[in-house]
Amino acid sequence: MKLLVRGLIVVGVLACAWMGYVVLRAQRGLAEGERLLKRNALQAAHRELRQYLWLHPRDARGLLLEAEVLTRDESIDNEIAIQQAMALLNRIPDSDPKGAEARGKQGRLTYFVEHKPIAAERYYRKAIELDPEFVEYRYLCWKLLDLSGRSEYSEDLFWGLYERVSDADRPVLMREWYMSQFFQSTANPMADVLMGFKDLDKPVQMNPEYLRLKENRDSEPEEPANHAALARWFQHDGDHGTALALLEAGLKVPGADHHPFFLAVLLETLFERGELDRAKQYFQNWPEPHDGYDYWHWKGMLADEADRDYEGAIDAYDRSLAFWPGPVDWRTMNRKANCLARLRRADEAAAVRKRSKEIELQMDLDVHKELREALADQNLREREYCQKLLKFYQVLGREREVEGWQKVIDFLPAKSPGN
Amino acid sequence: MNFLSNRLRGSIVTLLFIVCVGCDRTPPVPPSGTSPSTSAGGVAESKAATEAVEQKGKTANSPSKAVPSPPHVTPIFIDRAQELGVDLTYFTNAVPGRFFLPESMCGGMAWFDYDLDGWQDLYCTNGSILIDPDPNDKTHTHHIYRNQAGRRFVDVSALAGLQHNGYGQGTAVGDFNGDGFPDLFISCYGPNKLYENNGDGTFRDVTPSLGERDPLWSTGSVWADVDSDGDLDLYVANYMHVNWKTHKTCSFGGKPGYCGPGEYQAQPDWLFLNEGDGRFRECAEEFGFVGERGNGLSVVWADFDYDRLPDLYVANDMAGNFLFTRSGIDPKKPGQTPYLDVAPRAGCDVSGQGLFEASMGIALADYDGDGKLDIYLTHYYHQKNTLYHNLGGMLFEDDSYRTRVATISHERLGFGVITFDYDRDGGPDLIIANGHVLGPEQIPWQMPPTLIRNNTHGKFEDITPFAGEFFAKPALGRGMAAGDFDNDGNLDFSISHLDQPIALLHNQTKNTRRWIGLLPLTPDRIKPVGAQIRVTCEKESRLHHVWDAGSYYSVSDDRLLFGLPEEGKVTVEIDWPDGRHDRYDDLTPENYWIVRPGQVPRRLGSEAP
Repeated sequence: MKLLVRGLIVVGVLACAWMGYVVLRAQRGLAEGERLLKRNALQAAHRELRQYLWLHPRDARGLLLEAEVLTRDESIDNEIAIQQAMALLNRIPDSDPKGAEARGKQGRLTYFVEHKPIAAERYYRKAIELDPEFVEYRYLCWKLLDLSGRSEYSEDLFWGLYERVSDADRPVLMREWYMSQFFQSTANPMADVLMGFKDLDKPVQMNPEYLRLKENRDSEPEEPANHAALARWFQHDGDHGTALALLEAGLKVPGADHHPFFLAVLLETLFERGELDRAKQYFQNWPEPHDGYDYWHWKGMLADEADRDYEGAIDAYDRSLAFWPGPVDWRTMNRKANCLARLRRADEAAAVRKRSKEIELQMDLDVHKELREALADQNLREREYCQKLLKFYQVLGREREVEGWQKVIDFLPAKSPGN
Repeated sequence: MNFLSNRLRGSIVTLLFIVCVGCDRTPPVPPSGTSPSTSAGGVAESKAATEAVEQKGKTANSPSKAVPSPPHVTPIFIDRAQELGVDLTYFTNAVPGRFFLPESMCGGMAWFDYDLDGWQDLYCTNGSILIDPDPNDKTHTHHIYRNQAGRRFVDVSALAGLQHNGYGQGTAVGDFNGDGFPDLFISCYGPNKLYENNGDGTFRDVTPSLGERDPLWSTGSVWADVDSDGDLDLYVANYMHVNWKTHKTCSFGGKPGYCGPGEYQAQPDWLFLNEGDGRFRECAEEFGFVGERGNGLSVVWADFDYDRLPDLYVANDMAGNFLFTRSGIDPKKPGQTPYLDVAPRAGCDVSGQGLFEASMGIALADYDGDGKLDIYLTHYYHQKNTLYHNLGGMLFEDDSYRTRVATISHERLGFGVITFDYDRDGGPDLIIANGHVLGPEQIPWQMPPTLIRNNTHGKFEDITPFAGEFFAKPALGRGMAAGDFDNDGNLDFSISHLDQPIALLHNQTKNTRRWIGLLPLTPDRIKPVGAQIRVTCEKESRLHHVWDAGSYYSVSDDRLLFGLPEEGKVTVEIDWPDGRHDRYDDLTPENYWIVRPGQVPRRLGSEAP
């Protein structure tokens, strides 16, 4: 009996020792997993972190690291890995100090792996809401808007980001902002390469922007914005018929006929096709808030073209021009000038037309060719190049960009004499 | 799907989204875009993409595939050129792979009654050898076809002395010497030609009377009394400085093609003032016929604001159009020219959005029955044709979207355009010759013509699918002129092509409504541009404005046709440019009438005008 008791004590001690060892190991698993992850020893890191999470199933840091391992480990089936990673990240509540990072990571997975831009945007925006100082997800959210054909809505994101980065990072941001403003379709070529929409080795291939927008629509067909972005690509390519066919298909998505971006694209297409009555009907669906470039632009267009209410059109055009891309929208300025002329306000019309012409000249391809050549200096070391951008934005009357480029110039190291 | 997140880590500093400035040449994105064209590569790519999506989207209810409903009057047009004796294919001298721009423009035609026998004859320009042409070449000459009572056309070029062998472009018909016989100006790529009608069925070359000057690339032209002295002056639009030194070939989607206006310098237009002694003096600048940049292709002479001082409108290719007027100008003011270009402030120089459009052809009519003369312009593929609605007081608005002009024309590249009332319902309809310009390597290239019905409720309907075989056949249409060659009250058309013979479209449309035709002439026996003619029958009343030239490079029958109800007495009232008002209550329908101020109308055919 004694022997049995002694035996049990020994076993108990051993079990406790084993348990202690396991707990201690698991406790160390977090640090070990992180170390192994850094060394790209993904399988080993996975083991360590699994043990740690067994003990601490709600530990945000562990969950983040394990999600990272899963997304990196290409030996695991893609779909399963992403599913598991998303499930782990979901366990981190918004209220957790790591909540913002978790939402941001979910955003990244949702877009760059699942190609669902609208869901990804929601994650990013949540991350930004939870931690306004988290610049990485501001940046990615801005890029997401470029990549999903909606860069005109990124102004707040950009300036929010700009204000939060160091002086050293700002020159490059300003360069990317120019591309986002004027060349959204090709603003992020490396993303297209990494996501498989562009092959640098193929001289002739399908348009990457088309492929990307189509993939967005196919991956997330329940989102009206994806239908609209693809339709707008056709619309701007001059293929109004296909644009309208895509929009008609998109209208079957619940909520599409009340979605501002979808409505903006639909109105543009209906307008081109002369279906002004239908455009007016859809405009009635515009949801609150009744504000922003698109809302006022289309209110103005319909007042101008469908109702011949020139006073109303001028008011709406003025409001639309206050929002980006209004300041460079010389076509709407020209429409406003025409309305003024019809109201016999010739002097005002001439002034607006003059301004429209000034902006139009700034949108000339040769002007942008020169600017892009200036920007091709990756390190933006040449004062002369930066001055070109500064002057360009001065003509456009874009004070913040002017200030931004002035800071870039101020940040440049002074040239030593003789250089 | 790629598994990328491991590669997409990092902060801003790692710059995963490296911008590729200078990587491509795509223009800035809308709404700030400057050009309707994408980069050449983009076009090719997008076409492939379009096909892919179209395949996918076949189940979608695409309105672009919607079949229009048939019109209440079926248009019937039969090409009878060969059968009636008009057999000419414009000689372009196009050399494969050369892409010398003049090759792609073709030439115009003129319907006019040169021998005053009451039947419209047809003059057709022709091309010639572009490099070192032989001045005595009789192989590639222009032709005039005499109309034998609407039954047959006979080539009388040699007999009439009209065998010009220059590289012909446009024509202008007008009686510049006031002898009652229409004279002929021919614009060319190279030296132009002026022929005086001898009145005996022959013409004589009086080109030296225009004075000596270096030839330019002359295009559209019109005879117009710009100084109101009672004789006709000549306005000639010039296009661009294209010669063997400036010639270049452009690439579209990696394939060569003809360069557009952006690649060449514009040329100034000419005004030849009739000195009244058989000589002309070039004085465009003196008269104010100068614009910022004019790649002129077509012109019209019309009174847009009814001040009895006609205005001149010039359609420029990818440049602002001109509207030269005397309205509101004090000629006594020092330095003031008699004319001024007011197109920018009138709103008819560029599209409503402020875009330059590639204006080719012009047609005028009061489309909405508001009593004002509106402007219709044909434009480039994937632009739109433009309808400038005349608001009065020298103000226009681009009304292309509301009227559906934009969507109907979006897939076409239009050249010659004529307004006429095919169904005699009082709403001016449109016929348009289409065809692309970039070259045979490009898609699209040939295009069918378009027939558009004015529904008289402010909208246009494309009724091309109901217009018969000719309208189903793609071609490279260019010039278009209208003339009722059989005097049956249905307007017929000639269309020149780059790739096939001139078509003579016999209008055999069956109408139950009646018609009346009028040939208004001033005491000087010239066209009374600016006159307003009101034709009233039963409860219907139509106003027509007299104007001249238009279409593309071509001249149409001067006689005006009006549709009438099946029954009822006809009243014609004319406000002449000199202020005189005439009223005629006894003109019988189904006839052409010659009307002159203060004179008893004469039925055409009963006596030569």
